[in-house]
Amino acid sequence: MNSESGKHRVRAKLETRAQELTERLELQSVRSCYICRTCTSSCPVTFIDPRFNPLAILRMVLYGKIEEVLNSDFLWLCTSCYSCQERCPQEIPIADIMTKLKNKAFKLGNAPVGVRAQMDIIKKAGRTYPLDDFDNKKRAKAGLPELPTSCDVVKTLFESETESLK
Amino acid sequence: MQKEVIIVIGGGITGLTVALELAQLGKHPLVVERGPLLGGRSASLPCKATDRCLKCNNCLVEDTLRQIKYDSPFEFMTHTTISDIRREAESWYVTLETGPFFIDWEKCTDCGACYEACARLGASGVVRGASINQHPFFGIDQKACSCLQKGADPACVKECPEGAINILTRPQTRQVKAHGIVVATGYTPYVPPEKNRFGYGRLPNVITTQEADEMLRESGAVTRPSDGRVPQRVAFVQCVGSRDRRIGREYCSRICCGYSLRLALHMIHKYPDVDITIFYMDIQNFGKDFEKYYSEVKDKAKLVRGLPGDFYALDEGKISVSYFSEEQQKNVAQPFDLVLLTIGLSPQEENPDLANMLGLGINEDGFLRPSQADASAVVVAGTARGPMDVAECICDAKSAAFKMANFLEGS
Amino acid sequence: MTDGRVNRSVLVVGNGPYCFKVAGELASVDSVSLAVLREARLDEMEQKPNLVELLMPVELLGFSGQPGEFRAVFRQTNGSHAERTYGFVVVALESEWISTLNKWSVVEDSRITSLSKLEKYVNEYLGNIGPGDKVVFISGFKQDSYPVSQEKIVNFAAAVREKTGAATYVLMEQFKVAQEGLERAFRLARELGVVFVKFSQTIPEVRVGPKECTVQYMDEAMGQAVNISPQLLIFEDEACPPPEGRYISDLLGINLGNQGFLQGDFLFNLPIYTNRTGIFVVGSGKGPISEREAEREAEAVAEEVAKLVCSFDKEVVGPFPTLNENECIHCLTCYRSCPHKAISLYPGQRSPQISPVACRGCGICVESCPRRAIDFEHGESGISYYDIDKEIDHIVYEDSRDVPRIAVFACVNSAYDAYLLAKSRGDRLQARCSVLKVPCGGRVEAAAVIKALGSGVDGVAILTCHENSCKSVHGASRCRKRIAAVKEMMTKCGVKEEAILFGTVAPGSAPQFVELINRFSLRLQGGDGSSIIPGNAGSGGEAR
Ligand SMILES: Cc1cc2nc3c(=O)[nH]c(=O)nc-3n(C[C@H](O)[C@H](O)[C@H](O)COP(=O)(O)OP(=O)(O)OC[C@H]3O[C@@H](n4cnc5c(N)ncnc54)[C@H](O)[C@@H]3O)c2cc1C
Ligand code: SF4
Ligand code: SF4
Ligand code: SF4
Ligand code: SF4
Repeated sequence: MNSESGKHRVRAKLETRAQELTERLELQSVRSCYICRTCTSSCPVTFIDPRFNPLAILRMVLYGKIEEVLNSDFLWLCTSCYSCQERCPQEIPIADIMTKLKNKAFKLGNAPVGVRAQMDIIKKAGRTYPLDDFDNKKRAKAGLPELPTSCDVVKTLFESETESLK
Repeated sequence: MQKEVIIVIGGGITGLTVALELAQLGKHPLVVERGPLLGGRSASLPCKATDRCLKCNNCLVEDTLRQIKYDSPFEFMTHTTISDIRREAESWYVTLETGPFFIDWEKCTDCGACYEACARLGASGVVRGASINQHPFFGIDQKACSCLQKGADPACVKECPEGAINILTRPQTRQVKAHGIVVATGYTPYVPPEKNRFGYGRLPNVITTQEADEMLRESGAVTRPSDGRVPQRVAFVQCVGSRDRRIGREYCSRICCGYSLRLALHMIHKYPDVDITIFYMDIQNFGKDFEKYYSEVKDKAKLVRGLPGDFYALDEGKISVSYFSEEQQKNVAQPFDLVLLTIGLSPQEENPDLANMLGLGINEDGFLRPSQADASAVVVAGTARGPMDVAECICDAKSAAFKMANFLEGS
Repeated sequence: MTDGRVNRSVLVVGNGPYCFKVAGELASVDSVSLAVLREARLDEMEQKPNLVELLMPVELLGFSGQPGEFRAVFRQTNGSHAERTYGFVVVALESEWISTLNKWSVVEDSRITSLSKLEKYVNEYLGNIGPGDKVVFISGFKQDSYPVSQEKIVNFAAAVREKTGAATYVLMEQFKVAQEGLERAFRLARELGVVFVKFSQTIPEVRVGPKECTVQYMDEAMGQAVNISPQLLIFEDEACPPPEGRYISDLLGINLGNQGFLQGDFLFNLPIYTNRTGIFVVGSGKGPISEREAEREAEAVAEEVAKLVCSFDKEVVGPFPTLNENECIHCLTCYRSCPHKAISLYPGQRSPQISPVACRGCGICVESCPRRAIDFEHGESGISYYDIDKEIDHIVYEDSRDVPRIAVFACVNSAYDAYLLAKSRGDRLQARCSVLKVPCGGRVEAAAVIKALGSGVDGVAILTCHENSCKSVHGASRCRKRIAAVKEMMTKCGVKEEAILFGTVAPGSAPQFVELINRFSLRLQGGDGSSIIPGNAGSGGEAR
């Protein structure tokens, strides 16, 4: 009997933790989902990589499996194209939820190496594709104006942003 | 004693049934129909029978129309709207406006001279009934009249041997004192907005079930609008315009699941090679035969749970439809020859105005609801109250007639 | 009517609270008697002045007669018999909700129950449930589910979630949202945190151990297996026909439908009719319906009865068969074949009597009588189409060599309308048709078909309603069987049976009518290469 109620308490605790996280990240809207699958069938990634399925992620959040999502690599396959979000008949902000989850995962240090590398490049160059003199020479040949090769504004912006993410 | 007139607004199956029943109870209904013909949407439902009747209910409508045509049990006015209603003491004073361009059905002999004249001009100002039991069988759709648009005198007027076609400078009005009002104004079929992901309006072979219905009734088959060919692969997309908070329709239209399963069975019966896929969220029960039809469709067609995502044009008028494949656990795109959007029932746009005028309520879905006060002098019936099929409309109409007759007896 | 007196009272037959409601509505029309087949709660019954008798519990022993003079014999609990006469009968039996626990091979206990039990003992079952507990509802899988029962589930699930804080799951095949407000109710429950799981490929597995019960399933939308050990597990019930349905329908002579639910499987029975005039069925006995719908049917049946009461005062219009007593040999073929049971036998009467109220003018009795003792009286309208024989003698054809000549027997409820519609649309038939309006396919006797063939046409088509939308219930199927027999007979005689066509077509289906006739025409012209029209081989040209 005692161990029964002990189990109860553990179970309740586990649930509360997932619930807390859901509330803190403001993910409660996943509950509205009625499984029409519009999000998934609209997702360009689910065409290419069966590991990624927006509805499956929402279901995991609903079941309190947020940790599993945060630790996953598939979360990062979302391209933020918003196809799902714009079409969801229950008006669930699916793409925003993906972003929130990615942010949280990042904070936990779960971002894939590629994402971190990309971040560093943007931080340095203000772009994902850094420009150098070679590019500007090519541009000049094509009659295009020169572009700056670094972007300090983005850098400062970035620093404050990464601070808040930590 | 003066006749106690009851105004029945709307001449669809609901309004006609109410009127028929009231007449048989010895009352005096007056049906006011704004369109040119009686019967509403249900008069043109096409038969979807296989070797047996699949109960689309059109035969029930035909039966009612036949009775009305041969017995003329009550008075009705077509091309007519209500321009004003006043409540005074125990009566309603109703102003009716007919026309200005209309066929006087009392003179019309259903000869069709007007229709032919209009058709010769390539116009569709004169409309023809879908059922032989519709009387009047011809009427005027003012908006579609090409003569009026060109500023010319309508060609049909002088063709009519009976002189039944009126074109007045302004509507003809009539005032009626009524003791009760039955609202049977029906619904509007949902039409996808101009920008929609289904490609409706952009891809010729993406059509609504309403359009499929018209085609089936008119020509006996559902074919591809682009080339008139019988489609090999057909997709049904359920719940278009229903169960969608994004467009403010948080209700199930109730008739469309049954509709699609029937039409699918009909098409398979007619063209055994046709390959049908139905994309759905949930399949709703519809009447007593639900399980029978559902399991038959499961056998003969492909049911895919989940609504599809993208619709792209392919060669030869084909449409690529993407959806999540349960077997492959990923999205796939499949070509279809024809896509049918199973549209739902929307409330009439004028419902708030009507509610205002008659002291009715509006439910959360936008359909009419009887008000608490003065409930019995105004009765709402049929799809004006919410989505229902024809059999339910008939039942609802009978119950409305009962309430109205009770009210008249009591007052 | 045997004695000319018309009875207008109504007998309501029920088995639960719903029949009181129905009786209440009917009481505003005329006097009502209630026969309740088992003890039921009376509290919903208002005392209406027109309620003349309540028999409860009571057994219906016998039933006979026609509208306006139905006779019912009852046995009461004290064993005494009672005989009464009624004008109309309304069957308001309710369906039952039966537990599905045995279908899942589980036994009811404090953790496992059915929806109806939960409804009854909510406090007992939910008393021990609290936060951290799990409650699972299971809907469908082993039976159909309906909006009415899912409405209960969704409300319970929301309440459990809100009041106890337990994790609440509803496992279901479909959201049955086809009822006003239900889609919204489902969402509100979801927003409270109830987890709904839909299944289309798999079904959940339920295991019950002495200590724990577990529900294992695949969340198909998530693509992962889930394992729950609920403290409370509730199964949706199965809707079953009223247990009294079969014996009552046998006694009253009304057809049963699908799975033993009331009301025969015919389109024209919708929404509340039976194959018998003056006998109606309302409520969930026909299949589960919502309270609102049941109420609507109660009102509709009251209107129907009021209408029939009015009709008693009017003269019978329309075609009506009369029986020539001198020809009748009392074989009772008509009595057996009338789909509406409009023909009765009365003690002391020489011949069967046809009730003008109950008869719907199908003409099946006319066709069935071996002595041709029954025929239609020509009504005031002077319609002679019931006289098929005479009509056939008068077939006149314009002479035309290039298309076949076809005699079409067209049912007035379907094919005849389709023909008229085709004509008014200007559709072209590739045949010269002489279309005979018949009251029902069932009216067309074999002799008429053969006679038509003998009158010099190339083919005879008999076009009726679809079999389960035939207004005279078995008219179309009788017709189909008869035509098959005629064809067989012809083949035996060495005549080609291709000259006869049986087809079904709906009243609005002009294109289908045209297609049927044109294909038949092609067949008659030897579209398959073997012409059966002399001198017409291979001339498949289109008629202008
Ligand atoms: C695509 C589709 C397929 C369907 N298929 C089926 C099927 O197979 N079987 C089935 O049973 N049901 C089917 N239905 C549903 C069926 O059409 C309705 O149940 C039925 O037509 C409703 O009848 P009603 O009289 O209530 O309304 P309506 O048919 O809409 O009639 C209302 C009438 O009122 C008139 N009116 C409206 N406002 C006014 C006004 N202010 N003044 C005067 N007149 C007015 C309108 O002109 C119209 O004639 C289908 C619906 C759709 C959209
Ligand atoms: S589109 Fe919205 S409601 Fe539909 S499955 Fe995705 S999240 Fe759920
Ligand atoms: S499917 Fe419809 S039109 Fe066809 S027979 Fe049945 S009710 Fe009549
Ligand atoms: S009846 Fe079916 S298709 Fe129509 S809205 Fe409801 S669930 Fe969707
Ligand atoms: S005509 Fe039809 S309904 Fe009338 S008595 Fe004969 S068989 Fe019965």
